Amino acid sequence: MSAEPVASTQSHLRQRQMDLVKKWAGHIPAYLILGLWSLFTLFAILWVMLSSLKTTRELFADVWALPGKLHFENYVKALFAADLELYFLNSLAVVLTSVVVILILAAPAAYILSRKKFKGSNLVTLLFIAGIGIPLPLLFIPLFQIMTGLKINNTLFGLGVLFVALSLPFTVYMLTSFFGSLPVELEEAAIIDGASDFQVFFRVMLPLGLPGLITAAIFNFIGLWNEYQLALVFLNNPKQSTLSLGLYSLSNGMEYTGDWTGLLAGVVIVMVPTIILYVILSERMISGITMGAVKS
Amino acid sequence: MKKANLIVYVVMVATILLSACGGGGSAGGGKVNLVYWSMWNKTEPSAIALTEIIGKFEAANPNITIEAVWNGRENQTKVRTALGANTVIDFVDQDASQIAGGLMKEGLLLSLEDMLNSNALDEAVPFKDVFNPGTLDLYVKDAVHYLMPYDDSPVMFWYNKDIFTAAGIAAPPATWDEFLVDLQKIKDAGFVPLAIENDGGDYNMFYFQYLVERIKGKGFLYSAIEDKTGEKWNDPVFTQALTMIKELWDKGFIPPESLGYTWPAAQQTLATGKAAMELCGGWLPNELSDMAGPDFKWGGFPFPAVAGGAGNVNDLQQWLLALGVLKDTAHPQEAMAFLKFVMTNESQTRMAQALQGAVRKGVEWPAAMADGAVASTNATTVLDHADGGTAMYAEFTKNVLFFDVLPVFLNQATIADFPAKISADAKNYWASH
Amino acid sequence: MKTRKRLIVSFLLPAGLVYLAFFLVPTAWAFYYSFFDWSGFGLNMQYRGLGNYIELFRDPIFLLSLKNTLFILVVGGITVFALAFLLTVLVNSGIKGKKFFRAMVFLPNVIATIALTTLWAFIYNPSFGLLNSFFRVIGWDAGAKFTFTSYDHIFYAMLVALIWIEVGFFLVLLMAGMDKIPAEYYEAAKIEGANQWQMFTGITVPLLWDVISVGTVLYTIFALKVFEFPYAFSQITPPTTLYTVGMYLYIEGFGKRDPIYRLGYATAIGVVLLLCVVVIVLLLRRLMRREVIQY
Repeated sequence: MSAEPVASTQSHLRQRQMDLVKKWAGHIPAYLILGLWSLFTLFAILWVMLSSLKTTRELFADVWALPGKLHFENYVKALFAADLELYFLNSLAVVLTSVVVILILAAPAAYILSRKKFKGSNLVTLLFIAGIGIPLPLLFIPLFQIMTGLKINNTLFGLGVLFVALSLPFTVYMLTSFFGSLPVELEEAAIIDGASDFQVFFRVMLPLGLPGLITAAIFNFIGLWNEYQLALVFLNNPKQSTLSLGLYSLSNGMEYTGDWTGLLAGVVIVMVPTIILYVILSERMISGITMGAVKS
Repeated sequence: MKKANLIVYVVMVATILLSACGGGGSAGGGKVNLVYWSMWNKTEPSAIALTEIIGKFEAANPNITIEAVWNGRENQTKVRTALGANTVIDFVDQDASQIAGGLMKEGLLLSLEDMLNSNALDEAVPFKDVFNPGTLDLYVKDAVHYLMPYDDSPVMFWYNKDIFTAAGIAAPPATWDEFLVDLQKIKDAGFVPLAIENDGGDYNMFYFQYLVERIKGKGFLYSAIEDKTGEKWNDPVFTQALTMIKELWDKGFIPPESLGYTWPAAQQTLATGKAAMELCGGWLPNELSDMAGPDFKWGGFPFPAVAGGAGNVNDLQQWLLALGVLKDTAHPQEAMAFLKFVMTNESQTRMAQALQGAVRKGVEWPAAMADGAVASTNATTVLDHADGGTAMYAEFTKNVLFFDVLPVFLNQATIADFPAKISADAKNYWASH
Repeated sequence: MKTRKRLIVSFLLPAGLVYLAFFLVPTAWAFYYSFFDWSGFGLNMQYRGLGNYIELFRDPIFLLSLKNTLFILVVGGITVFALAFLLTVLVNSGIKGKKFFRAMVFLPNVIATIALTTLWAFIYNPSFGLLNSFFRVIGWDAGAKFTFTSYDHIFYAMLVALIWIEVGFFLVLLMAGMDKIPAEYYEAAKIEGANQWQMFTGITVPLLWDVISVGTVLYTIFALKVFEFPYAFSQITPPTTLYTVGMYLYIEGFGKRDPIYRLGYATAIGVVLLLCVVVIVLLLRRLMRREVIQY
């Protein structure tokens, strides 16, 4: 009588241990694959960062060796000689503003296209999607003429306008599908409660669509932050350059200067903000999701 | 909501349109402002040198200011876009072959004849006589000069003098046979004789076009490019050149891993003392200077002659950078005054200090490029990239000539198939051009 | 009805006007060039009718670029999605460090192209590169001597690097969709004894279908237009074996190193590219339409 419960507790314990082991064993492939993948990426980033602290001679003497002495002067050179510190602020201003404006324009449009079908709405959607398919270099010459006509060529403001216009198709398309996949019930419930269409959009759809908006914001930010083709065509004023254009100029001169580690320092300067922003925003993305879940 | 939106929108559009219509005054009052669009990036040593030269020019000509726009290597493409929108640009610079095939070919440049026939600024000789032999005449259209070369990179073998000494080579080779003997010596001494990049298309073509020139002389390759029937590609010189290149691979003078080198992997083996030489433009010692270190002893020798060939060892390909004045400039005199100023002894010396080869006679070149100065001065005939093909038929040169030669150069296609392939491709190309 | 009209106009018009002014109008304008032989300099345009289009299909380099692009689309696409799904499922399998792994896989997307291509050049370098050195260490001679970036391998070497980048993008996209699937569905399935694969095909795929179809369309468009990465993958003169349609368009129209200035022809390439995008996207949307229609 007295032995039995002990034995059952023991076997219960053993069972739990077995479960745990099983659970862990089941996770081993996941850890292994993700671990290796992450290790490789981490290695890539670290390699770029460490190499940026070497001299070019050191880098090529042994590509995989750790730097002997840390050469921060690569950064000083990149930041001040190449004016990257000014370009950094330029990029931050123009990219952040553009991302906000893109969302302000694209979210309502996407809402209409996904939830409020009207005559011709499919055609409009298709027009937007077609926009993603257009190779941008084709637009350089006509756009240059339009920009010059509007006297906004060679200004960060003009570049921002282009950033907004050219990011619209992708963003509208992405948000259309995000809004489209949201449950209909909430919207209907709000309408029954007497909310107007505007209220439905601002009070129901926007909060629910927040993860989608943030994902779109991240993709746009990263895309625009690293964008240099448009900047190259539309900016000629060294004071109005963007960071990635500055980096492009650095890499451009390689055939005459061969300053590889200086280039890598520039790369790190361009890369760090996007990493930080991504880390912060992906946290937000998750909190946005829980917010939506609480409401429903 | 709707009205507010609309009003904001209308106001925005109206503002943009209004601002587009109004304004637009340009500076006046006796002072001339010249706009210079440049192929350099602001931080490059050459841009810094040019900025100083501009400063000195402005000091000497108080009524002229020069506004330099440092565009980087896509300069001419940017100029093209900007001209389409009536942007004011007075003069530009870029690789000479590139301007020759762009602005010059399109008839958008001003003739420099009067300037060239007037006297130089700092010497009482005709301006056209201050240039290294042949450089000025490389790019002419209907016997008129539109381009002024101001920076020279001779295409030759750039080598590590220490390796040559270690291999027991007293003087660089002058003929192809001597060249092969020396390559063997270098190989036997345990070094890699030749640095080759798998993706160095332009660099690898140097071998082909030099060999064709050394055998047949200047202009033969160009005549084949221009042949709309494609028949000329059956000439044995082309297979002969490719066979000579193949020998370099077969004898191990080009190591097999070169097939996997992507720029700058191979030239880096030169800088680190593993490889002995590379056939390249004069920018190479400069580009590798950080990597090679201050103790590296650079030498250069021209592409060797081929016994019995029509070409000469001193026929030299020169990669020139040039300035050109735009046809629509409002201030041609002032722009040309600056062009002349760039060619003074002082300015050219300053350019050389930025590690560029000078075009002006007698100016001392950077130490690493010293042999380049000798070659430029001795040049009997000046050659252009792809024998002029790049400047005049850029698309054919890239899409037919390079397209068919490079795989053979890299041992990825056979020499036997080459003549039939390229003549068919040439014929096909000309059928639609 | 009236308020609805007002809603549609005020929500759609701002985006629509900006798009029209700075995108559709210049596009139409550009397409006009495709009927001309035009260098882009001055006004010297020669009307050519369909000449540019006819030339395209006789141009061996265009056909090679097209073949490469379609390879990136199909083979690259299948690989990217298989890997993105695999990693998404693994990240979501209840392991610790979910956010960390997601961030790691996504990271290559935030790094400038030049840095990535420089890194891969060092990985593939035949004399000291990571891969060849590794094979040398384990004593595999054929692997140690393999040239990853030679003339006929470089395209595949580039594609591997490209896949490594793109997997992260689609992982984030899939995960954003996956996070919306209520956890109870999986718990219920587990209680009923479903295994990972059954849950994947029974819950994940159907509930993610919207995201999957968006992802497919985005990848298609990305793959058809891809140009910057392969262009930078060989930093000096990209061999023709590496060409994509986007690269060829750029080289023909904007001639960075060579004075090839054929804007009309380049525009024709762009028009063909756009037609490919529209046709393939419409086809995909039809193929991927849900079997169960929701009202």
